[in-house]
Parts: sequence; C-alpha cells; structure tokens
Amino acid sequence: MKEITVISGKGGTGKTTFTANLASLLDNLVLADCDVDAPNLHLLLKIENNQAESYKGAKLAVKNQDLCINCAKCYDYCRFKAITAETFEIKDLKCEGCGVCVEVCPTEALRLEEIETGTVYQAISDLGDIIHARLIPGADTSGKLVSEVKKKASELAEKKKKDWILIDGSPGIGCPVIASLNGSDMAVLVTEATLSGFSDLKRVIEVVNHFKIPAGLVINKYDLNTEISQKIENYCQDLGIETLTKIPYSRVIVESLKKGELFVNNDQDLRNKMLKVKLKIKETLEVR
Amino acid sequence: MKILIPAVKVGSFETEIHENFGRAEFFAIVDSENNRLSFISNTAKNQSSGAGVAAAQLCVDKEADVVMGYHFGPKAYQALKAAGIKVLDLDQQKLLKEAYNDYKSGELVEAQAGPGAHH
Amino acid sequence: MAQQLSISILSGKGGTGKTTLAVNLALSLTNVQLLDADVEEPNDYLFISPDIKNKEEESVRRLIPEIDAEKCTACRRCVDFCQYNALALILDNVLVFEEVCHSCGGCKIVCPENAIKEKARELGKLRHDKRKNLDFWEGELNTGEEKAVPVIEKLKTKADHNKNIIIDAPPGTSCPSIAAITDTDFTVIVTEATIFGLHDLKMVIEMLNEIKQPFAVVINKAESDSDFLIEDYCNSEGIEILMKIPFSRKIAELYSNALPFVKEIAGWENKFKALAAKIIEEAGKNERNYSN
Repeated sequence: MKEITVISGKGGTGKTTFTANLASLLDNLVLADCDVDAPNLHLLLKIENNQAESYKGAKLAVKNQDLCINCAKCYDYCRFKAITAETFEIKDLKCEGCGVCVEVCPTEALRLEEIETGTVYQAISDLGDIIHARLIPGADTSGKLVSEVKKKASELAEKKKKDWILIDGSPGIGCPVIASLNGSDMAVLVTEATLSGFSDLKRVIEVVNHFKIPAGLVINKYDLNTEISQKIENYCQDLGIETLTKIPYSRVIVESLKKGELFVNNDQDLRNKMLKVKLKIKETLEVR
Repeated sequence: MKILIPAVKVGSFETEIHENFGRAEFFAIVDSENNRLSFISNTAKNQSSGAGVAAAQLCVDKEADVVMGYHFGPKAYQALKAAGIKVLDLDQQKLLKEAYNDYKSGELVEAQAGPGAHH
Repeated sequence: MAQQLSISILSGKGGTGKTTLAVNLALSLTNVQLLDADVEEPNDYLFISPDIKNKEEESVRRLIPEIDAEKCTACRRCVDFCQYNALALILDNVLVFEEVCHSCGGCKIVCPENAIKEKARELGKLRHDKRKNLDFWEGELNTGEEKAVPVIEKLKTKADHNKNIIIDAPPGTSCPSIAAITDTDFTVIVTEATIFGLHDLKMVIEMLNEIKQPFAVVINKAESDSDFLIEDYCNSEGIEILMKIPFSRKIAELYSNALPFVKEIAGWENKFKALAAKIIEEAGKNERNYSN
C-alpha cells in the first residue's frame, strides 16, 4: 500500500481538482480529504452512505452559575478577553481553553470541558471510499483532526486491502500540512504559474524536504506565464523534484468543474497527461 | 538499554511501527538486556496541542535510553536530546522486530529534527 | 457628510480572488488605508509595495515563561497545568517550547516557588508603506509561529478611522478570520462560481451569521453560464451580489505578474468606485436595521 499526499502551499491552485482526477485513474484506493478548512473533494464525487462521527478537538471553560460569587478573578486573569465584564460569562469564540480561570476561581465554578469542534465522515463514493471532515466555524484547524482523518483512512485501507491512499492535503505551510505529510510515501506539489504561487511553493518545499520522501511537481495553468512556469521547473529540478506534468489554462477544466465533472472524462489530451502522471508516480514508488 | 518505539497496537515483535511519534497509539518498550517486549498507551496522542512534547515527556518519564521513529518534530527531538536519550531514525523498517534487529546490528543512524506539527 | 467606512474582505478558501479585490478596490479609492491581515500568506504587498521588506517595520511580541533554575524545585505543577504541552520536565529542568505557548500566564500563577517570570518574544511583524492616496500596512506571522490572532489584533490598532479602511482577512472560518473582521462595518465575501466556491461560501456565511456581521458577495471569475450557482443561492437567502469580476485570461495574466488590473484595463477604476458606493449603501441599510 502506498500513500500519496497532494499539497500546494497556496490555495486555489487546483489541488483538489487534480486529486479527484488522479483518483479516477487509480484502482483500489481510499481517499482522504485533509483540507479540513475547505473540504471540497467530496463535491467531485458521488457520495453514498455518509456516516458522521463527532470530533472533540478542543477544551473550553464551562461555568456553573450557581457557584459563581462574582469575584471577577476570572475576568482579571484571562488574557484572551474571553470573560464578559459584568456577568462573567465565557465567550466561546475567544476562549483558548488554557485553564487559568479554572485555577484562579475560588469556588470551583469553572471547569474545562472537551467540546465538539468538528465532524469526521466516512463515505462510499464512485471513486472509492473517502474519509473527510469539517470544522465548526471558529474552531482552529489542528494537526489532530488531520491525523484523525488519516488514521481512519489507513485503517480502512488496511482492512479492505487497498493499494493506494490518496490524500488531498491541507493548504499553507503550518501544522496541518505537516500532519498531512506524516507517513506518506510521496508528495505531489500542485502549483500555478504565478508569482504568489511560486513564492508559496518555495515555502512548502522546505517542509517536504524534511520528510525524506520523493516529491513530484505539477504546474497548473503553466501557459498563463511560461516565464514563471520555467523558473518553477528549474527551481524544482535543482532540488531533484521531477515535473510530473504541466496543465494548460484550459476551458475544459473550467467547464468540467462547473458541472462537478472530472476533466479526464472530457478531454483526451488532459486524460493522457494524467495517465502519464500516474505512470511517473508508479515509477517513483516502484510499483509494478 | 531501554528502547521505545511507536507502535500501532499492543502485540508482538511482529507488530507494525506507528508512522507518527506524538500521535502513536502505543509505545513498545524493548529491554535489550533480555529482549523482553512490553507496551504502554501513548497518553499524549489525544492532546490537541503539543502531542510531540507530551510523548517525549512520556519517554523521559519511562526512562528510555533509546527512542526510534520515522519522524521527530523539532520540539520532541529537543526534549529527548535534553534528556540524553539517543534518537534513532527509521526508514524502511515496518515491523518492531525489523527496527530492533537493525538497532542490534548497529545499522540505525541518529535522527535529525524535522518540521513539527504544533497542534 | 462623507462617512468613513471599514470593510473586510473574506473568502471561504485561499485562491478565490481576495487579494485581487482588496488591492484593486484600494487602488480605486482616495483617502484609503489597506491592512493585509492574511498574516500567514500576506500577498497584497506584491501588488502595492514589492519592496516593503525594506520599509518601516515593527515587531509584534507576546509573553512567554522564563524559568529561574535557582528557584525551581521541579515540582512539575507548571508542566501538568499547561494545556498546550509547552513545558516539559526533563532531568529536573523545565524546558519551555515557546512556539506552542499560548501566553496564558497560567504557569506563572501555579508555580509555588515564584520561579517563573515572563519575557517578550517576537511572533510576527508589521510593515508599513505610505503610497500616494494609500496607506498600506501588512502583518506577517513568523515562520514556525502558530498564533495569528495577536498579529492581526496589533495590525488593527493601526487603523486610521479618518480614512476608508480595507482589511484583507485570512480565508476560512477560524479564529484568525473572525479576529480580522470583528468591528469592521461590513464584510465582502469573494467567491467563484463553481461548486467549490458555493460550498465554501456557505461555510463562511454560517460563520458571519453566527457573529451577526453584515455582508454581501462579489463573484470572481464570473461567467454567464455558471453564475447561477451563486446567484440562485444568494437570491433565495436574500444576499446582495455587489459585483462580478469576469473570468478573463488577461486578468489572470496580470495577476501572475502581480499587476493590479484596475490600473491596466480601462474602465475598471470606475467599476470599483461604484462598488465602494454600493458597499456604503449596503452598510448604511444595515445600520438602519440595527437602530430599528
């Protein structure tokens, strides 16, 4: 079983679209959407039997009003301005669950409680089983939720004897990305030929380098700016990152996405490009 | 020598190594004096923040001499090193016995700190 | 009387055109201030002030614990208290992992030996550039730091309420996004006319409704045959669509070189001026609603 994680640094480069299209060409796989802030992968699939499980990802202060003597200590000590001034109520969106108010409260009116911050879903789709998740508004993305999604995906893949786990990774370069990459056999970097795409790609490559796993490059909309595209390719080549494919700025992709379809089913050239990507990934990972 | 290795379940030397240090389900403890194997729950795995540091604290509290794994975040690495624990890098090994055998034959190299997942 | 307004620009996910809208709107107005609060990936500067790294800079700091080894008895109270595992007790020494620390001050409170003091640590920077008609600030989170909110809050202290203020907020629905839009008069959500765009738009709207923030929508990469995705939803929810920026290769090419299209394609400056007028009108409606 091989695990591939698709990441991008910058948002909106086509990471999810790429992932779904690649998924349709791989046999016997489990999909995992680790982009828990904008979980979009399932929108390109036909989902059935979506089972939800609540996810508790944070602690918040909870107050027992009966015990409160309005001493204002919690208000004085809270550095997150999470306690209201007059009634000493807890503002959930501000509370960071540090426990200082619990510590200073003389009457034990406060305690920390684990709260639900999201939902993890397991579903069957036309492209294979998928694990995805979403956070409630105001909850912070955590490596813990990403790890949870990945854990469920690998358990499922193990149980069903799958060959591939394909992960739609988190954008950015912070801890969710690191959690997305942890334990993967290969990283696929999807970028676009823009200055901001390039600058974010450089930052994400630094993260990938630490994992000692092979990485492949996909330049989306490469013909938008062939000069930047070439710079990106050269930059990656110097670091030993092979170009898997370059995808043009294409009407077919736009149209397919609008309809929620896969572009590999609507354009033979693009399909061939993606088949080549699959082949190169297999070569890199020495599969078959 | 007391060796701690992240493990997917309570099992035997045939059990798989967990890919993640901080969020591993269990730690296998191998005593190299007598080749005895035991397991402990990783109490750090459910922490929403700093699981790596908490797991390192657990290894320190269990008086590990050696810790091995695929990937260590910078903070866990720093904590383990500060305790004088030898931190070894795994790569191709999949099962506990493979890691342990490679350790005994001196094939494992010192790990480097990688990027960390703080939360 | 011309009323000065603060507008926040938000999107459900990155890459939908938030920067495009914030920058081009700012460049179309006079007496305006642009604050780039997308502190994890601030990109507005590429369009406004490419050499901002050489301009005026200010450090954003927070407090982190410092252990007095002389006084510490290794009692472990601080380590056990810390919810973030920012402290570890290693061979009778307390180690501090500064990046994970949330600066709550709890360890100092629980220490029975008074062995913990606090010191300042930089977690990000503010940068400033004054252009003609445009006062520009950006916040940037240092690599390795996780707490974006304090940088955003510090950035917002630079708001000059004698000017129209535009805040480019971090995408999404988490705490940093909320911190950036809090106390702004009005939020403009940028979305694309795709199923992804619609899905993420709904998530953002759910969050905005929860915090009772007035908002309207701008469609980026708009196209006549797909805008209905967003329009149908907005119509049914009574949400105003303020403007459409068309799907255009020319605009995408200009973006790839970090050139603001409002300065390159004729006619757009007036469109953005009209957008600003519309926003003022919408925000005004809302004030009336509140006062009733």
